[in-house]
Amino acid sequence: MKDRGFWLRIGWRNLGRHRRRTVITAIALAWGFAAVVLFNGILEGMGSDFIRSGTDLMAGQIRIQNPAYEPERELWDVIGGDAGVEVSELLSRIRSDPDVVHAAPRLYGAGIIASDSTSRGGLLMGIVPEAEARVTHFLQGVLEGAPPEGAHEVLLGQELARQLRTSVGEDVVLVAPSADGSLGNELFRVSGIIRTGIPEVDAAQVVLHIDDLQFLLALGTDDVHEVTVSLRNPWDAPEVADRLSAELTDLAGEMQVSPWTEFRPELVEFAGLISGMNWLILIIVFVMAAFGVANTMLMATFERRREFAVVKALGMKPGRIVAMVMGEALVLGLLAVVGGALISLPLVLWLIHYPIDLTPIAGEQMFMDGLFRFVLRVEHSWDIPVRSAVGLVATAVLAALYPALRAIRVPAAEALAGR
Amino acid sequence: MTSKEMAAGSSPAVETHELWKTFGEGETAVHAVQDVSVTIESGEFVALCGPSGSGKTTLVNLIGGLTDPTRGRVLVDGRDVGAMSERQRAQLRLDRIGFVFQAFNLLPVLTALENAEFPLMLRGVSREDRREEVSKLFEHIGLGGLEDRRPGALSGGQQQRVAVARAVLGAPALVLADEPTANLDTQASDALLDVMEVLNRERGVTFIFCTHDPRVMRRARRIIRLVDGHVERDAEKESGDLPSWVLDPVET
Repeated sequence: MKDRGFWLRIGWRNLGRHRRRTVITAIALAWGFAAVVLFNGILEGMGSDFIRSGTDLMAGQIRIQNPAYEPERELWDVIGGDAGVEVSELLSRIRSDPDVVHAAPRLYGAGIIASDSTSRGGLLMGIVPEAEARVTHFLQGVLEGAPPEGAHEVLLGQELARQLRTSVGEDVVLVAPSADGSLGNELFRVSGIIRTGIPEVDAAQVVLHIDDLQFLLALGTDDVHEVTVSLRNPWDAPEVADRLSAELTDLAGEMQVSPWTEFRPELVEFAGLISGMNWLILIIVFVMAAFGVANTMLMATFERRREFAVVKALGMKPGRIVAMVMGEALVLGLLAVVGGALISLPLVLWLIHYPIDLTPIAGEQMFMDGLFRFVLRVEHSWDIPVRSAVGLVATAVLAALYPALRAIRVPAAEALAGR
Repeated sequence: MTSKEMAAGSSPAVETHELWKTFGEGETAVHAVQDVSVTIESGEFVALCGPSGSGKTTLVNLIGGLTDPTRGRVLVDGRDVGAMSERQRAQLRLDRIGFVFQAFNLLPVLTALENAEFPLMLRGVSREDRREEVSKLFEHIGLGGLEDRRPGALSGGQQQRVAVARAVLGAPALVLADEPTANLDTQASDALLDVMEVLNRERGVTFIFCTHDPRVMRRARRIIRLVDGHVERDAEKESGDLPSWVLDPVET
């Protein structure tokens, strides 16, 4: 449209005719915008923390397995099948991906653990402690002692240790069916006690070095059941999983590379819930904004009936009258976005850089197999302010549609006569 | 060649056929325009006179398509205004008709220059051409130097001159002017009427004035007197003298 600047200038000047009304409406819209940006940012931050805590504790953000391993979890269904895989090469390739923070190998088994006084069934998990600590956080839950550092050391879940009536420094015996059909058994020293907060883990988990478990289960050094991967951004998991799946095929044949969105679907649902809440807030605020703009623009069109009659008489087409009124709302919306940005930006920046830890008040909570800390922070994202700004401006413009349609229906002759 | 001769052969500028405009219904109905059939050729300089409430403004509004007739037809350049959509009427007004209103009706948020150039802008005339045309006319009608003033900072006479400038800029085929000189002193009135006469004479622009002003009627070459919505008298005049019948009884 020619002379677009002219129409925006008219919009700006018309808004200036009732400064107080314009300022009040713009402030209301600006607060709405600021509230949406802030609350959406906080909810996104909380959602991200839930996802992080739900994946970082034990699961990781990507899981690489032999496609046949789940759900039976047979001992011999290791990555690469019978030939196994060059684990160091596999890890090296995974870690070279720019979105990957680290990767750690795991081996699983099941067996019986016996102390001096009693025995219990246990879930055996072989790890490389240094690598695991860079991928997941569960080792941070060590209450006493330390993760297994040397050979023949185990870390026991807190509840399991209690039931076994054993403690750090004492000996336990692990008995487990091996891959070759024999029954492996070894003596281990308890190096530490761990509490993850996940009841079934704390009641059964036995963590030992992967080399020890490979030996106990009669598996080779190239045999791992899983590689767990942590990412810089959990939301990139599906994309990175696809990439890794393509890149690793030549190394160990077919592999199941699963992002957390597949093996933790409940977290995806929760993320959807957060997103839904964000949209709900956005809709509530913007519906209120729409009424505010519609009211302001309706008042303005009532007051300017004669002017609309004049422009009609001068040959302004209905579409252009609609555009003129909506242009005014556009200017109002842009004004509100600028105001809202000025209000919300300092708060958002502050909460991005200086999150408020509410754990001393709210404590740590187990949620979806993750230990969640209540930290008030805003997730750094351009999506939210951009989406909110576009939404607010679009709302303002659309809200002006009804007043604009009223404007084109002004009966010119009557309005010019002051009727 | 006269303006009338220039327009010869084409459709009349305005035709009305048995035109009625009634406000209200039943016993309270008011017939603002009753059975008016007139033909105004292109290039005419016509004054509509008559007492207040005689239907002059309503007739002008009907001609300009600002209101629909209750009965009858209005043709502008041979085109039936009543059969047009709102958009087509707007296009007709933009392309063919200039309006001067009784109460100036300038847009208060625009400067004098922006008000005057408004229809040109709607027509898509370039900024430079608009400014050039406006500046020339403003100088001619004594508005030079007032281009950047808002209507609120102009006197009534100055505002009316801006309104007239807005109507005649771009030389529309037809100018409908409702009491254009009502708020002007003699000098300003004469200057404006001079401009209009030049446009009429040189470019064949048709002028239809609603007026009580003898200065306008003296310049008109045809006078139509309306009373109670009827055409009471319709006559061409040769000299600058006013026939006695043009004056309202209350004014005589």
